[in-house]
Amino acid sequence: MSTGTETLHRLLWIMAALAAATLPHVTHLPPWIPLLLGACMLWRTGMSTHRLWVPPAWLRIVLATGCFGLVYVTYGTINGLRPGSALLVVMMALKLLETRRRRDYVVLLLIAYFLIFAGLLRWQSPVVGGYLLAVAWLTTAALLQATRDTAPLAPAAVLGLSGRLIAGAIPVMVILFLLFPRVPGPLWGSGLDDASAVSGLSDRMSPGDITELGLSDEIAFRARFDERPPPARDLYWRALVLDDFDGRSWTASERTRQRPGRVEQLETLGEPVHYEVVMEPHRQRWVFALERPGESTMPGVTRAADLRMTVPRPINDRTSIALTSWPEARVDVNAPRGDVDDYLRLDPRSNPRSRAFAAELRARHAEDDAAVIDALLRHFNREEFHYTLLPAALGEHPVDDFLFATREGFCEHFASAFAAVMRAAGIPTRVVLGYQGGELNPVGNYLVIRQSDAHAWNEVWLDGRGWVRIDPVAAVAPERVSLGIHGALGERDPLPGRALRERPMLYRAAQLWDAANTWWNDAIIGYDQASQRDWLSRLGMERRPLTALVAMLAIALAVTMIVLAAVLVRNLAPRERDRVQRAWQRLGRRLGAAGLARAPGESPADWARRVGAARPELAGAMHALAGLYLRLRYEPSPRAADIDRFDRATRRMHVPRRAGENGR
Amino acid sequence: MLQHTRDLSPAHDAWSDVGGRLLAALDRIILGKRREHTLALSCVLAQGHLLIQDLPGVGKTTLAHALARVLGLSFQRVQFTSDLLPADVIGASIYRRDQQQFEFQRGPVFTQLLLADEINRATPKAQSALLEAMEEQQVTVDGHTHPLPQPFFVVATRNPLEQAGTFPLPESQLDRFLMQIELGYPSPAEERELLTGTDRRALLATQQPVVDAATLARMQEAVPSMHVAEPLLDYVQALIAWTRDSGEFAAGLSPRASIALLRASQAHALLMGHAGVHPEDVQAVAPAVVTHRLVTREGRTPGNIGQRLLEAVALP
Repeated sequence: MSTGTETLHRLLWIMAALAAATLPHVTHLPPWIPLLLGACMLWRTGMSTHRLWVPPAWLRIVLATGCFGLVYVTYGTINGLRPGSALLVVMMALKLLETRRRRDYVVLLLIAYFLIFAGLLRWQSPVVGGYLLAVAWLTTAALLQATRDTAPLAPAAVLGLSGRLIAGAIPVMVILFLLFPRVPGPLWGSGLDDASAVSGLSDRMSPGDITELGLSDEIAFRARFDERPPPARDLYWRALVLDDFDGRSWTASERTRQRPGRVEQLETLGEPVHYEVVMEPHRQRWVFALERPGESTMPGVTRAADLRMTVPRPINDRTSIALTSWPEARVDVNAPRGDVDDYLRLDPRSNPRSRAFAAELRARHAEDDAAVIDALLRHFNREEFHYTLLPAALGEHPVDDFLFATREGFCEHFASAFAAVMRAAGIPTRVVLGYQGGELNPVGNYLVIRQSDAHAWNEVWLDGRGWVRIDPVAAVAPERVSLGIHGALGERDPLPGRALRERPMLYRAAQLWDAANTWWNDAIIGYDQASQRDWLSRLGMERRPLTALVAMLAIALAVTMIVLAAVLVRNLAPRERDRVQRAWQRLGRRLGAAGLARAPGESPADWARRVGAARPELAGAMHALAGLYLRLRYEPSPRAADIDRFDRATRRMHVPRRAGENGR
Repeated sequence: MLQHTRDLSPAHDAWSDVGGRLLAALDRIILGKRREHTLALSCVLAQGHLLIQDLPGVGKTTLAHALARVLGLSFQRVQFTSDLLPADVIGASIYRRDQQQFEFQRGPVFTQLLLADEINRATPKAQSALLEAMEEQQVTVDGHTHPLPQPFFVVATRNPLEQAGTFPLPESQLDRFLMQIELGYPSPAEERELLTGTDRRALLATQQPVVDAATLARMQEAVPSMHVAEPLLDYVQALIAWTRDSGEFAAGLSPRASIALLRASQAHALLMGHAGVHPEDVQAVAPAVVTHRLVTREGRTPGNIGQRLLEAVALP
């Protein structure tokens, strides 16, 4: 049996592995569970060092039942990732109290492996992946220590051994990853818990809504262009169209959009832009499309009458969609005036001063819609309007307050006021919600669009020109459109990521990191059945993909196992890599096949004599070979020519089978 | 096919020639003991001392005498008995009345080859006087140090049968002997030759020295520089490690023993004319080097340990 200190040594390894496997889950567990684990670890250590009282079986049963009950009460279920992880940690903590034998240690470490799997199910980032790989390394080392018959190994030795075991498993892992037949859909869940909130646009716009988003540095989506991305001033990403205004908030009314015969016409002009948007999960059905999107060829992606792109189900996983847009296209040029008049509706009781202002503009410019628009934009530009993330609060008539009192705001204030005044002046106008701009990541050559790029602008319908984009913010802060939000706001505005942008090295590192993450999400997490079919068909094996995959899997695994076995065998005898020694061993194998193997302690000369006595025809050759071997291995400065000669001679050495001993 | 050629460097070629002639001369005097002669000569070349354990009458004395003859060494013999005093071995200071002073009278130890016959019959005091002289290569009496002649080589014998009234050598002192060999009975043919041939003592008297003292000294100097390859050091260490790890012995071999094994192997390689130490050189000397240094946990001499050691440890 092992001694007390050895048991403690093993226990410390095991507890280190358990703690490391639990660590990523800690923040998602009710606090009593990590505390329970810590307490059980301390108690178990005390049992080894201070002969603390061992909890009897009945107490352990009571504890286990109580803890399971608590987990059930906490989560309302014991199914699912969160309660499952909680149960694993509880089981681990309680099992620790009854570990005595090797089998108990093995059970504990198996639970640790399960916790590692649970962690991978929950988090798919490369950082957590790397951490959990390190935990698997530690856990394997603990398993090696726990199952050794003799004294525990030194830490460096056991970690080295564990590392070699894991390194040996990596080729197998890669093969299974690439070739194991995938089922349709992503392998992993979204990683989102039902309860967790996501920031992003909503289908309602009130003053202050987008301002809040402007504070978020989270990534909304990434866009990768086939060619050069369009200039920043053209990067308007459309998500939603809002047409209903109650005097304060803009909303999207189903009524306007679904009227029969209201299909808008896209007249394609100019060059198309091909690109791919990769959306972070935002729990909505809309897709971010560059103005102005054409029909998508991807199944399920539809374009609504007002050019919104949608998918049938909410985007709960990172989703990639290929799109084509015509930035210069004309929309709805030939719509009947009656249809677009829907975009004139206003609540007659709200914002009276704005309506009066609109009437004044209209009176001044008579029938010229373009002149009315220009006049309002000039008004924004000439009067003291400020573009800021920190606007003053607005009262009962928000448009009036903004236009005539506070005169400061974010994009939604300008878009809302612009649309309200335009409608009052009789020009069909709507609010478009989406994102403007995007930051090129030069490492991965894609645009990153963050929540802080969220934007609201307007579209007006002009006779003979259709829907025309008007961005009132451009009139106040043109740099918002050309330079992005960071160029437009003052020092005073609490923008996220400002510190990062002011340090080029850090900024560059952040870009590299984002590119690496994007690659990880595309190539590793995003590797699915479609990707598998894709490269199979490029290899010309699309006919029977499953058979092809299984066959390749079997062959690749067999080859890997053989190579690994060969490497292991060579590593077992590292000194035998030397060429003279290899030749010598070859000679040993050939004579061994004839029943004349060298005994381990037999000297070369003795062996040669014994072989010569048994097989006189070999005596001369064996004597010469043994002599040469001794000279090459044990005498000073062996000559390369002699090594060659020895190598060749052992290859040529032929041991004829004797007449009487066939097939022994 | 392959020719077993060796381009021998003159040095070890010359030494192997000398070694061959030394062995031939010993073989002429004592029949059929090639192996023991090789070991005894290796022991001399490695500047160690030799312990011969065997029955009376198998030729222990003759071997010692023959070694002295062929190596051209002065020879003295001391029969160890229970009343032997240290002074009988190393000498004593005697008052010379005519010169009015003490004069050191040299004992038999002042010779080049000393045969200490039946060493285990003497008292520990007498034994240790000799063993100290062996170790120090000098004798100190009354505060005066007297260096021993060079080379100085002791051949001690002990009789394994007669245990009554003997003082077995402690392990620490056995360690002073580089090798312990046994001679054994001659084969029937050799015994017939002994019975019918010339008297061995007469043969001894006619034997001329093969080397002079200077040549012997140069050979002894050549031993430590004999080439030792890495795998051979591995082998020597593996052999020593086995005695430490096997659990069979009260104690494994000491570092002094591993140096002894390497030196003896080098001397054997020199004698054989090898350009470097071969595993068979180690195997040839290992039983003689290790056997007397090991005691089982039960305090007995392990049986057949040399052979078991060589079979158990694989060549690297």
